[in-house]
Amino acid sequence: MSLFNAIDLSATGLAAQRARVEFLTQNIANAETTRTPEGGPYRRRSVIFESRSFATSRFQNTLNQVNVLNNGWFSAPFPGTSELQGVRVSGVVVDPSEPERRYMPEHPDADELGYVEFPPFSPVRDMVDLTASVRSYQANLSAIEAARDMINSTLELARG
Amino acid sequence: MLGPQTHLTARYMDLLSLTQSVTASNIANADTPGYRTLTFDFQSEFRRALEDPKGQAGESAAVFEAGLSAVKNDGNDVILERELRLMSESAIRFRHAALMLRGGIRGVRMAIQEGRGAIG
Amino acid sequence: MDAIQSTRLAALSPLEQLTKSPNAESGSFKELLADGMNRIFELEKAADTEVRKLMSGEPVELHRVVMAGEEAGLAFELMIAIRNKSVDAYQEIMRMPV
Repeated sequence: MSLFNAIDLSATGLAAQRARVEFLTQNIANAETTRTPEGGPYRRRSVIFESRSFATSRFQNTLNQVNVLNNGWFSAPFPGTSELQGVRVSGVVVDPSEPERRYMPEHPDADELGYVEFPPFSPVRDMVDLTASVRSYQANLSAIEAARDMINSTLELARG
Repeated sequence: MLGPQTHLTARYMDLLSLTQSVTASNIANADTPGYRTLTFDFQSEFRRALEDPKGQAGESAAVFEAGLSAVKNDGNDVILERELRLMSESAIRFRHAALMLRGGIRGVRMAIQEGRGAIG
Repeated sequence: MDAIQSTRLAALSPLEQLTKSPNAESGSFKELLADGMNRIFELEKAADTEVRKLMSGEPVELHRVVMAGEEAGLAFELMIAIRNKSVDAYQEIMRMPV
């Protein structure tokens, strides 16, 4: 059913944007972090989005005891609309850029020369991306609400 | 029972549901590098339905790239406002079509019951 | 509109149709009922098919499933109304003094 499929597609958008928001807020929070568990100053993370084709009905796969693709969609809409895509986070990139060195000899993380390594990025870019990401998240949410609205209209048809 | 208009209305609702799926795909990929906005030709699909309402049940519709001109640096051309607008409109039209159908069903039921005991 | 008209015709005048028929036998009314029942069976089967498709995740739109169900339901309601009318008409005839 198209509307179930639409909801599945939007749900992937929600998941992807939520992951993105998590990393963006992490970046913003750690823009000045000089010490991390993996050693050295914080390195900026960015998520990579990738389109993901919908597969055949998950229910059908369950019935057939075959799960050809993980997290297949709930049910297929019209045959032949395989162009429709969800989205997924295909990976997280850690920024390999050289840290920024600031002369702060009193700092607990200062090296022998008195320099402290800081993350080499400004959180401004992440803040802008965060706004965009939240907006996209809300758009996906609106899409789900619209589909649900249409489903409810359909069910009301049967109410005499 | 429900009259000849019903097949056309059903197809109309098929196409509105498809609109929903297509905009869902576009919105989900609003930030995906390289993703191009998808669309389908509602008008020509509906025209086909006008010519042969019954035969269009369960038929597919061609979905293709819209070829929007404003492409961002990462190759993505999705305009969120456009998608949200299309989505709202198709949801409203769908609800209207469902209301028409419901009215039709109730009308036939009233005729069967000759107006006696029919729920308003 | 023609659905409503034919509904009224069927509901209001089963007797009238009986007397108009050339053989005026109960056979023609029986045919009317038999046709009606067949129609219902077909519509019910169609509705069942759509529901099954929905349940098994096959491509079918929810509004079509609902509409098929409603259509079958209406046909059934119509037959019930015809039956009721027929019974009323029969009883009225039986009450007539010979």
